[in-house]
Amino acid sequence: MASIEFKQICKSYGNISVIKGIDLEIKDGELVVFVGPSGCGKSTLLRLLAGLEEEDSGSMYIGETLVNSIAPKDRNIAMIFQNYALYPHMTVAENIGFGLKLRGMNKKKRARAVDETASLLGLKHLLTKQPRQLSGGQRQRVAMGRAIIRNPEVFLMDEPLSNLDAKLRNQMRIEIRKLQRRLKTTTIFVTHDQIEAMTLADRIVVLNDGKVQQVGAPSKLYSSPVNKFVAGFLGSPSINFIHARRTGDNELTLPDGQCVLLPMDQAQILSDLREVEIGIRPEQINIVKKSDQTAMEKNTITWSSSVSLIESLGSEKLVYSFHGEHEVAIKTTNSNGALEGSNIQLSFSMNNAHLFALNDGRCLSPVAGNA
Amino acid sequence: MMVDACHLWLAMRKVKYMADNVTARGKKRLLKPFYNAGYIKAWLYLAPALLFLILFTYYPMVQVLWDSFFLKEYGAEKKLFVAFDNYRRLFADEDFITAVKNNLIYAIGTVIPSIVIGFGFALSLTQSSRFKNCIRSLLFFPTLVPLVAAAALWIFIYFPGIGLLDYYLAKLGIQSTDWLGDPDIALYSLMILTIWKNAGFYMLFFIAGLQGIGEEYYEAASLEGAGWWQKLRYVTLPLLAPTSAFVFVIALIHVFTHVDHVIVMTLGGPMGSTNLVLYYIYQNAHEFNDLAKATTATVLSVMVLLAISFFSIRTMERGIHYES
Ligand SMILES: Nc1ncnc2c1ncn2[C@@H]1O[C@H](COP(=O)(O)OP(=O)(O)OP(=O)(O)O)[C@@H](O)[C@H]1O
Ligand SMILES: [Mg+2]
Repeated sequence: MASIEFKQICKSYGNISVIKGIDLEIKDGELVVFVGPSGCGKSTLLRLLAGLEEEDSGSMYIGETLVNSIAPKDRNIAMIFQNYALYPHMTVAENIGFGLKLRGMNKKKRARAVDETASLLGLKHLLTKQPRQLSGGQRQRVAMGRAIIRNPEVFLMDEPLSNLDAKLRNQMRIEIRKLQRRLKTTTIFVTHDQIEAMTLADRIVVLNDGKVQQVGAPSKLYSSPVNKFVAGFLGSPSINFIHARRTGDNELTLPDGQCVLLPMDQAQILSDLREVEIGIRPEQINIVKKSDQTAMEKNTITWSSSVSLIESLGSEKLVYSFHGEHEVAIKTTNSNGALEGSNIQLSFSMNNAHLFALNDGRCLSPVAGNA
Repeated sequence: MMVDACHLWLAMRKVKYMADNVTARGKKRLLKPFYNAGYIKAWLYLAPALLFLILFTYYPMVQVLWDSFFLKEYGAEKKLFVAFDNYRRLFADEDFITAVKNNLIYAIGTVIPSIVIGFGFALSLTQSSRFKNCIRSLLFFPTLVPLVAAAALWIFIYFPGIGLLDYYLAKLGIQSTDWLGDPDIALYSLMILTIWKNAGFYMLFFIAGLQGIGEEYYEAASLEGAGWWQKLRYVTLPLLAPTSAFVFVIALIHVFTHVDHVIVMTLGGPMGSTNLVLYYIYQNAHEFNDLAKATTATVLSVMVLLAISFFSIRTMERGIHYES
């Protein structure tokens, strides 16, 4: 087990810069999830740490050791690949024990270790099978077995669940989480899937365009994103943005001409910015009854619009409507009788909203409630 | 002809595969395989090729087999049934035994080195770069030269005293050698030419095979702790097994079916030291006019080749379908 540290890591392919100076510390025993859009450099960062790619500059530490010039096989890392990379000509037992064999462990000891690992993962009855005879989930588990048997200092997993169907994915996700808790091995897990990220991670690292956008606990990232990108990336459906102009010290005007007063702390942070974007999570928008005028407070934005679509998620509903020309998503347990095509009244409080600078997307305000 | 037979056999495997697929897609497998729509369609696709193979390959094969039990004296009217007498005569012929022995030495001494060398070339030239592409083409060049032309070329190389080889060996102070005239050396000289000619061809198959092995297998191996040799031993070689089996069959067939260089360079001599089975057959048929003996030797060599290819392709097929 070991901590991991990236210091000013840069990597480019040809003259395309892919990793642009990454600084990141991962604590011993932590499970960190890298998320970000396709092509943002998640895999590249993982492969740099594994030694499968060579960095252009910067340094990486595993524990106290500078690993830049250490060969992959001596970094004591195990990696689970997206397609598992199991050897088709080896049995499950041979696949799991491959690393031990290469390290010269004798046959007897190896067989015992393979046996132990296999029972931990529920693979004992499959030891003599070949990978092609296994289901996706079983293959996934064999890949895990090959990784954990050597008791490495670090696990790297590059979208290990993306080849599984939704149900199996949930199940394996929980298994990985349990296993990691039990082994306490420092783990980096790469995924596209934000639900995977939110549920697995001790901390999430949001990457975009080769740079770390934000690092933090899942709930922290959700409630206090540092910029528009992070706010938009986490959460499903994603956060709604509404453009607004500053028309007074603590007053914003929306495109539809409506004015709203800001709470004092938000107003202060704005300083002399003229244009902002209001970000409001779908679950923070309420559908209110037309008659219910008591909801109209001075920090509240209220408007009416038609419903374009309703999706039911069982206990909750997703209602799609508009603010001006922009579609907004509302997630609610109480749709107050809204129907597709009908007109509804919507409202949210500025106390629950995030403000982002229009020019560079940085978040200006912590949400009042979380501050 | 042997190669055609292999192709047909593989094609028939494909027919079965296609038919299985078609039935698997249907709801039930009620119908006997031979009568369902998939099979009929597949056989129809195959029919034209099969017809020509029967006419020009299988019918002559059977005819030759039949003929090997008859003797027709030169100028005689009728064929005489002699049962296995032709076979007895053949095995009593010292020249035939020599040719078989030579062919075995020639087979072992060319197939293994040219495969090993071809594989070595492939290993060092897998990744594409302009330089490597150049080298590849150079190594592949001998394959493009017809064997007859290559043989003519190598006559100049082997020419005693003034040939290319002796010329440079002389500079090292080594005496001139009669590369093609010395019965102890001539066969080995032919073998070197064959290796030179074929290694590049096999390299091509191995390059294709190597490029089919996913990079992640090597990456996983390096993280598991494999060095260069271990990757070769535990990843490359096993995953390349189907390619190797295929190349092996091709190489073996090649050894028994190409004697152009014998004809151009040594005519089987000196003293039968470079006589190979196919050249022996040719000699008997066209020089000694012992058609019966030639026919019989043909039957035997075809049988050996058939056995080799069926056996090898079987093992190759059993040897794991690697798509996982
Ligand atoms: N070997 C390579 N040669 C050239 N460019 C590469 C290479 N590998 C990756 N890239 C580029 O680097 C960028 C980052 O790739 P990377 O695989 O790290 O993305 P990713 O975040 O893992 O994406 P995904 O979520 O789709 O897996 C991409 O733009 C990709 O095109
Ligand atoms: Mg990736």
